[in-house]
Amino acid sequence: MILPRWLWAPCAFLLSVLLGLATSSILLLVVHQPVLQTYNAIFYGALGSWDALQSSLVFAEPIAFTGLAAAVAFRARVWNIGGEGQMVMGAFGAGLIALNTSMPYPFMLAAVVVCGVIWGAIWGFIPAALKVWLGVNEVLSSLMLNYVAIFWLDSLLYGPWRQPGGGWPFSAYFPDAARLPAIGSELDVGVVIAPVIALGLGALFRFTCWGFEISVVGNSHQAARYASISVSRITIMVMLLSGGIAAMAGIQQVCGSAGRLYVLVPGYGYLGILVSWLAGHNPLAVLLMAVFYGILLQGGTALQIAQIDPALVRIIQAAIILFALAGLTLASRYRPRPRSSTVDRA
Amino acid sequence: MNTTILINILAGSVVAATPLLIAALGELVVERSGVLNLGIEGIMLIGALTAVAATLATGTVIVGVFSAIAAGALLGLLFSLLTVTIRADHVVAGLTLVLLGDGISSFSGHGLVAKEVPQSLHAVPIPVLSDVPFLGPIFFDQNLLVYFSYIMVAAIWYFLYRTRPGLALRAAGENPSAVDVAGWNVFRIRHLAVIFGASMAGLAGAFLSIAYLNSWAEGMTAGRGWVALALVIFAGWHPVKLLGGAFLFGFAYILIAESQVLGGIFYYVSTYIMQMFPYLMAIAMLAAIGRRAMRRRIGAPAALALPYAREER
Repeated sequence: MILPRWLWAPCAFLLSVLLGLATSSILLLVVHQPVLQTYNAIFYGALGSWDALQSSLVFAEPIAFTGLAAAVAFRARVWNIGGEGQMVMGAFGAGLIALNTSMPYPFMLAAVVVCGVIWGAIWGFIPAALKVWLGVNEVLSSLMLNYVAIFWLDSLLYGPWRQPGGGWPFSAYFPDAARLPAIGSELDVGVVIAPVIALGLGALFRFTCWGFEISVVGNSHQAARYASISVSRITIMVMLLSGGIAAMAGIQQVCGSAGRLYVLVPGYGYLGILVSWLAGHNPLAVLLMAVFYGILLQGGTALQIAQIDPALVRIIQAAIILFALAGLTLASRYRPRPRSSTVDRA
Repeated sequence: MNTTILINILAGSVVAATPLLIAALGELVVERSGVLNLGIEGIMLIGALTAVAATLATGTVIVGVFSAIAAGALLGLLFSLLTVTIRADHVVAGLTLVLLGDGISSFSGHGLVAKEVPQSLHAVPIPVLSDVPFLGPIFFDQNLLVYFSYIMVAAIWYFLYRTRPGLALRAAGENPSAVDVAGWNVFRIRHLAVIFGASMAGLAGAFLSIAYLNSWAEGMTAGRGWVALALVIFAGWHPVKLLGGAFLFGFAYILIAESQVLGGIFYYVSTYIMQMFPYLMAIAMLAAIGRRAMRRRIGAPAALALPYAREER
């Protein structure tokens, strides 16, 4: 083959994006929307200037965290669909400390982050425990817990935690000591933390025993048992880690530029799953895909400013994802095999 | 609590249960054929929107219902092309379908939000049965789609357990190579099953928007598609056992809707906490079933969510 093995997936993805754009152009024409103006607005609004790029990264940040969270679980083939709920519980945990205690700066922030991560991990632990001990399908239990988490935060924001005197479902502002340091006008330090976590996960998967065990469990439970790797232990550890990382998405949203609890924008948890899959559960590729998605989302905002229906971006996204799903599946099947046969891409 | 209120609540539960039952019946057939369609939530949203749009455009509810079924079938075709033909991962394809349905329905539904459907499905009491005391008004004074869901339970049971194609479909979910060797076309079985299941999900969405809530709202399915998926597991992949689970969840939804009216302890519980209830109930039931399933080794079709390829036979 002319194309080296490792280039198959990226090329398939690029081709899929192009096909997706072509298809959405046709769709846009069908619904009588200006095609070039739409793409133009998305491009300049999301990449055209430093400010625009920064706004794109603001969208990319939580997706990077939920994407990394999904990658950890999916590598072990544990289907954690609960990134959304773990993110919300992360925000809740952060608020729990930030709104109820006061400490000097570094301790306060540390306590806020740790508490958020613990709550996210708890929300990851529940479906893991249900799966390991009661055989409950983790797709459904983690998903149901998303709704529980969202309603729980709602009940607080419309109830005891609502800012005194305010009509909107916002909490009071967090003290400055509980805020993440800012980078630039809109970004916070999370934009650095996400790559650090990605590198850490990359090293974990590649160089550690534990990362190897995760891959074995992900490829075959039977092989794992023969190698006396406990599938239950890996499932629980992977879900704790995944929940904790997903929680960072929530912590970053409330302790970043918002600085208070609010009803989080829904969907980042689910986007993380897609992003992770598109990236082949490779942590560094997850970052790239998160940025790609951030650009699309910021493109939606840009459309609104250009007075074009922002939901058009969703159609473009959908078209791209469908082609990428088909394209990456086919690419992994028909790419040249190495000597030893490998298991098909999940 | 007097009997009239009780009858009203139980009759309401039957109505609230119907979309769950219809969607779950469809998914049951899909899963029995070996395909896992997690995209029900998205298909229901598109079905709900299509039904409202078509009903408002033509003024006829029947057109709305059939458009929703057609929209569901189309999404089903898309899903089966991805999972059966291209053999993409079922879980990822399903989630994509949810995002797709959510995105498209909220995009196309802007102009329709809060527009009431003029003439929605109304109750058609069945002559003799509806006069049965207590049970009559609960089960037999409902709209036609509710009756349709009863019939479908029986029809799907009959199809799966008493016909040869039904046997082939069940076998395709357990051991597709054997079905292939026996001369049945596994791909065709799975394509048709997925399209059928997605049409049912579209219909379930239509029921929500034109027979239950009477208008379109963004994200109006509110997790019902996922609850339907859980119901299939509770029922142990058996159509008749779906009835009980669906009615139980219908009852839960009605309790939430009526909690303020009911008074008593419900008055003091925040509505947000109440709204968690169906999901917590679903998890609790999955846990209860899970334990039993582990003991008795009953459960999912053996080839569920495994793409079938002839060359790997």
